[in-house]
Amino acid sequence: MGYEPVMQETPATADPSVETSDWSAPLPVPQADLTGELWFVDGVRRVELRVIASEGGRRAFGLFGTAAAGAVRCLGRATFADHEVRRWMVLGGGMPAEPAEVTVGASFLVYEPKAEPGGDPNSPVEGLHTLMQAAEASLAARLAGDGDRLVLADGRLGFLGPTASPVVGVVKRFVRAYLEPEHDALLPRLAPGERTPLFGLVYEGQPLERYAWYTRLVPLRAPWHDHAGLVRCEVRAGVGPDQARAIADRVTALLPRFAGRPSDPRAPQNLAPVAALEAWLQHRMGHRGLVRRALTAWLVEREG
Amino acid sequence: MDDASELVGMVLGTEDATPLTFWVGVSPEGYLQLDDAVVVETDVPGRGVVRISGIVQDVRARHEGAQFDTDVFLVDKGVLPVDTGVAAEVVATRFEPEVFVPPMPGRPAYRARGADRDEALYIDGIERRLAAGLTRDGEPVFLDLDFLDGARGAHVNISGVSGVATKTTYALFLLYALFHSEALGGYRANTKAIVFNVKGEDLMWLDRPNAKLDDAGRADYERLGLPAGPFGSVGLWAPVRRDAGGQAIPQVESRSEGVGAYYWTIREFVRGRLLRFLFAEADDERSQIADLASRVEVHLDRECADDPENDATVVFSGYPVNDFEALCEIVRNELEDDASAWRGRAADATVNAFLRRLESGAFHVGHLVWGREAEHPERHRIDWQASQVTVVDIHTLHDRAKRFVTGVVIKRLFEEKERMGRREPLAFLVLDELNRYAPREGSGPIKEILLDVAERGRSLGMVLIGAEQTASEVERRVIANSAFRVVGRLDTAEAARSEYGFLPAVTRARASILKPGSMILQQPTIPVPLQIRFPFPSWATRSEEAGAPPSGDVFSRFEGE
Repeated sequence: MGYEPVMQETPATADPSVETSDWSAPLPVPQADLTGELWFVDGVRRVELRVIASEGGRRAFGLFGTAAAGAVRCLGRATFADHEVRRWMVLGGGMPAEPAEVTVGASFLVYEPKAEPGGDPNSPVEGLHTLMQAAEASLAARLAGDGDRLVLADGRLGFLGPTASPVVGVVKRFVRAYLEPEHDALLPRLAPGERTPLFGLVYEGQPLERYAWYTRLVPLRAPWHDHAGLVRCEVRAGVGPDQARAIADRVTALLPRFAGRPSDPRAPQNLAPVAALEAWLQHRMGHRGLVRRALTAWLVEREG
Repeated sequence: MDDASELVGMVLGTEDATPLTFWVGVSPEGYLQLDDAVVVETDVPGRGVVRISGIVQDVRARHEGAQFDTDVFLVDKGVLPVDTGVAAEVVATRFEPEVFVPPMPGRPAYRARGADRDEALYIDGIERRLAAGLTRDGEPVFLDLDFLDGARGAHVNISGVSGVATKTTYALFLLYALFHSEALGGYRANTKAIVFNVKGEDLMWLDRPNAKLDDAGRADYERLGLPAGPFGSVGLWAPVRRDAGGQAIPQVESRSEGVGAYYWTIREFVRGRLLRFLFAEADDERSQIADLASRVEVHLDRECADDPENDATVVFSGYPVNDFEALCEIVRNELEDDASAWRGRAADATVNAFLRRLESGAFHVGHLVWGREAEHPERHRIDWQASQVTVVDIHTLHDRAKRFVTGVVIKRLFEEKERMGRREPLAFLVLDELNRYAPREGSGPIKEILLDVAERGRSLGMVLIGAEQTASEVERRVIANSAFRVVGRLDTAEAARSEYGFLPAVTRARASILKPGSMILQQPTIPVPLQIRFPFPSWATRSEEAGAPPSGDVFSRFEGE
């Protein structure tokens, strides 16, 4: 994906005692039902062309970008399902943007305007990322609107509203350590299909927002550090502790089956359906070179 | 079958489309299979719409988005989502109008049916159609009779492995279609065919319906516009049994009635100059011996007088030649006599070699040449005019005798056609094991006649339906003169030879997995060979298959023998 901005994870405190205070051993999970309908949701984004906009004496960083969100439905077979590709012209510094219609071959690409308040060179990328996350969240929410399924969204939970089916965020990166060392010591000892007890994530001045747990996808291998192969899962606190425990058990049992393949540089945390979905969404954004060329031509025409 | 062409996909943009070949992405709701006819219309600026027709040459399916071979297992487990892409390679056969452009990617592609299909296969241009079989999905395929009857071409050559390639059965199917359809028009009744039965007694039941023909088989015939039944007019001939005590009994195992016994008389042997066919195998020494043989033939013909007392024999030096042994004795005496004009300048070694062969020939063929003991020899002369299809059984004969019989029969047929001097009515000759009679290497009297047939038969109205296991071992000119090339199951090594250059690589590979009853047909008007199947024989090929004979027994004339 190339350049990745460091996305903020707001500081939160962990409450390790929501399920049990005994963190001495991993929790094995009972054999879970593997037959239900399972959905993976993920998004990708791509910066097509960076621009600097000027108006009067003002200059602002901006970009043409594409954000896509899609889903894979697993029920016996895995199939690509709902997806959405949207193109954006993000302008930083609060500068007002306007829609752009760009011709590529026989088709039109419409770039929707999005003004981003930040004036930092990274602000437009962050803006695009936020748009992608919003698309992911709305897709996950829509999919979870139907009952009898389990929706696994890539990354932190983007929304906390109640849904008919549970939505679980699967976070593959350790941006922030939430646990104290005494609890953290359990993580290296997790085996696939085992999890830590649930812990609550509380943001300052807020009520308990989400339940989280760590689980391992594949057995630890020699060259890896002891946090490799771990993911953090979270579910909104609104489901209640009992439901959260049931969901945690089910997800913990399910995930090793979908572990990423060694051919993926982000293996094993990047789940196989998610990796395939990302490639598929990238492909649906269109050929990068062609889009870039069309945008350049559009800019030249506009200026000329 | 529905006659409207149906939408099956679009021309691909991920593979080059060229005027000669292009790929069609097959939509999930449709399918294309090998040999399907496809039609695509494409816009050419300034020229309007060009219709491109073609034949599916290859079809592939693959997971899109999967990178590794093992991905398929993940896909199966429901872990990895992929798309499945199916694409068909189409070889263009026709452009209307002839603007040779590739079809544009994204153009809809249709499976051609009805008139569209006829156009793709140039069937619309065939005025005189002969049923040649069915495509695998049951559409009839036709031959252009103009290329079979000599008007624009002639001859059929069939190659394939023995036993599985069903070469003879296909040859008979073509004959059946000729004789039981209106293709030949007014000449049908007088058109004749001679078929040599070289293996088993497969062809001795042509006149009986096949009791094992089922309704599906009958439907095949109906689709081709043919009745499903036995051959209408068949003459069956088997060699006369050796040591039958002067009784002309046919040498057949499975069938006791309706088979004529054939032999030649001494007089026919002498007058027809048939001696050379005793020396029919090709080898290095042959030319000397052949010279000597033709000298002896001339002398025999000149110095023997017809026996006034017997139609079958001749008189030499005042003494009747009673049997073939006596005739050989005369030849031997003349050649061993240094003063005789018969031997000419032949060296002793040549004479000795000749005599050795004569002796061996007499041993194997002698029983087919009768002298005084012959009664009604005209009843035992293979009469190919009497029936539409004349089957000459040679499978029980020694190789030397087989050559003698085929050589003599073909020679007589050719001479009669030559004498007739016009093409119609046609005479068809079905000969298997062509590699034996017209081998690539060497020469021989049969090969010479077959070459004559191949090269001049077209204008004489004599059509050779030849078959062989390996076309690479048959005289090139015989094959080159065949307008139709048919291939059954081929040995893989054989399929790689240049003789099958007319088969595209994929078709060639398919030739090694063809099932009995399936053939690949190449005809002059269609640029792509087609895989066809032909219906199960509606005539019996074994005694177990033989149904009751049709009423009005055509063999009544044999009764009482």
